[in-house]
Amino acid sequence: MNFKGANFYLWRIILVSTILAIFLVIGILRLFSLQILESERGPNFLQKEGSKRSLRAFEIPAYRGVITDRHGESLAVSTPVVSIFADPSILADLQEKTLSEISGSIGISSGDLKAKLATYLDRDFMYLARHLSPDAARVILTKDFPGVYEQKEYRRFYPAGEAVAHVVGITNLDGRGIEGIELAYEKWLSGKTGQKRYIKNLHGDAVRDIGIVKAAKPGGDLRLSIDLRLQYVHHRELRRAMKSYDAESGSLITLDAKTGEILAMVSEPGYNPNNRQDVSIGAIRNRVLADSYEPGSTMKPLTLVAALESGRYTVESMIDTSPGEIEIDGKLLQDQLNHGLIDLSRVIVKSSQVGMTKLALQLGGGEISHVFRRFGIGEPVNTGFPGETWGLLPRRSVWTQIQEANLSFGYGLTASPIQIAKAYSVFANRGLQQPISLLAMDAKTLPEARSILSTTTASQVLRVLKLVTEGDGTGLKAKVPGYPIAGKTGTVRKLGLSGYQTDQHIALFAGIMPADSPRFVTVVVIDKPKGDKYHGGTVAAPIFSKVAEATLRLMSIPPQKEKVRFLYDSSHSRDRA
Amino acid sequence: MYLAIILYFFIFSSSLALIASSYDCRVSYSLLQNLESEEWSLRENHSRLLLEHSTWASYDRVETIAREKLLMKSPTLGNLVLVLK
Repeated sequence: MNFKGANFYLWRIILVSTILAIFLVIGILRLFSLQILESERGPNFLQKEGSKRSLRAFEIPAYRGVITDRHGESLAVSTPVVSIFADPSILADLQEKTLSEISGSIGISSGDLKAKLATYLDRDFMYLARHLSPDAARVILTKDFPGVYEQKEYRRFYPAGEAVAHVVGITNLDGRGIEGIELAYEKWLSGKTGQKRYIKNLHGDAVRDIGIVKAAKPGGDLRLSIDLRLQYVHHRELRRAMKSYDAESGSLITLDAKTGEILAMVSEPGYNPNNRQDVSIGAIRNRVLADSYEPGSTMKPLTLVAALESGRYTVESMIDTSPGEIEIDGKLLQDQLNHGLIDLSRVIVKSSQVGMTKLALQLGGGEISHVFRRFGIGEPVNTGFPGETWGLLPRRSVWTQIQEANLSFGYGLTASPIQIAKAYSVFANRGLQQPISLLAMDAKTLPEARSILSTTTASQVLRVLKLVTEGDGTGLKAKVPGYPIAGKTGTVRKLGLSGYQTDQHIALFAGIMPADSPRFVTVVVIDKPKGDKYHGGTVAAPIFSKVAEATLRLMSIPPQKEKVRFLYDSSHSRDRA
Repeated sequence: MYLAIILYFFIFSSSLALIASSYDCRVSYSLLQNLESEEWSLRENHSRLLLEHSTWASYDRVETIAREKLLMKSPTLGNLVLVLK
């Protein structure tokens, strides 16, 4: 019995031990498969799942590059802001009192917060407030609401405000460029966002930073060709003109003909980039680059080039403009007065339509349009600015007489203010044309200029343009005391549904300063000025005069010696001796 | 026997090195975090100053004060004297 009993117990011990050993082996094998063997649910899978529950990654915002003017004045700077976000699943479990405290501190109603919460309940992220100043965010965060966190971001701030808004452009809420230079150089300015990891606890709060997965790479800075002082003067004068003429829109640009750099560029209506509420789409558009108009008489100097290059005309060639009108293809083209027999330079000075028409019929539309295109009319300016227009210069194999006449005095084609300025830069740069640049240039980065016409022709046209602002020229009001000015006025009737309107005009002036040592080109365009004054010579030329005077002073261009008192710096000559 | 001692020595020293380097890493990371927070507060300060600067020194304001308060005006040709070197 005893033996039998001992045997029985031994059998039971062996059985239990075997079962335990089997479990142990199964356990070890399972551990081996989970921790060591590479399988679908192996160590990698477990690590990933573990990290998902305890690790959280967040983006490190990259600091967006600073945009400055040519002298280093800040035009667009990223400033730190804080966005407040929440985990809706945590907020949903909070008491009514805490929820109303949260809504109160972020400045929304309790009802709005609840409605938002209901929308985002199935997600683990929702914004409560965006782009708060760090001080305002601190007030909320110190209350330590459960499930409420901060996200550090940058917001663009434009210290120069409205004056450069059309050049610099704007970014959206996420800091991406959507207009102007901000959009054109988005890749360069934005940099690369980084990533950081931290361990979170059961409640989702950050417990410890683990480290940087990817460091944020700050964006590059940009130095524009714009001179903020000039830009301000341009903005001020255009704004004043818009008010006094009650115009619909206006554009003003000044460029350095020697380097092709845009020194100032403004258009109206404008907007404040730091406060974009109630801003209309039209106000955001940079009209200097994006709008094109019929340039009118400002194209006459280009027709003069075609005439001079044909070899059949000189600036002294006589043209009979009597009786002050001419009928072409059933359309009557008129001068304001009968100028009689005048030379070609007087045709430009008096802006005679009849004289130009007679010239155009001799030259032919093809020849004139070829010169226009060579100057950059109907061609891209290639500034890289978003929305830049090419304008329109029709290509025709056969030109009717009225088309030829229209072309010669700037109708039947469109050009943007910058294209007109680019074309005039040829006269200011001895026949050479520099590529237009919105970025500051130096001697090393200056691209090679393109030769558009001979130095002789360029200086001949410049001399004629100088006469426009003297004596009885149409651009007399563009004069600047102490400086010779060259330029051309333009008055264009606007095209409406029933043809050219008699009561809607565009006033233009394209000028070069100082004419004795030309360097700057300024173009003024005032669209739909109201009242009695609507001519280029009475509306646009005075604006040019004010802008040119300030530009020449700010750029330290001395007036003509004969117009001011002068003395010799004897100490300097002694030093040199 | 010698091999075991050498190996033991290597293991011991590499574990010490590991401890030291993780400590260094932690110290550097904490320094980085301090610098990041300093950068943030400096940028915060900079933007505050920039805002102040753009408000007080805007060309518009300077011109208004110059013309209206200080009664300054741009020189005419008669006021100018050109100094030639």
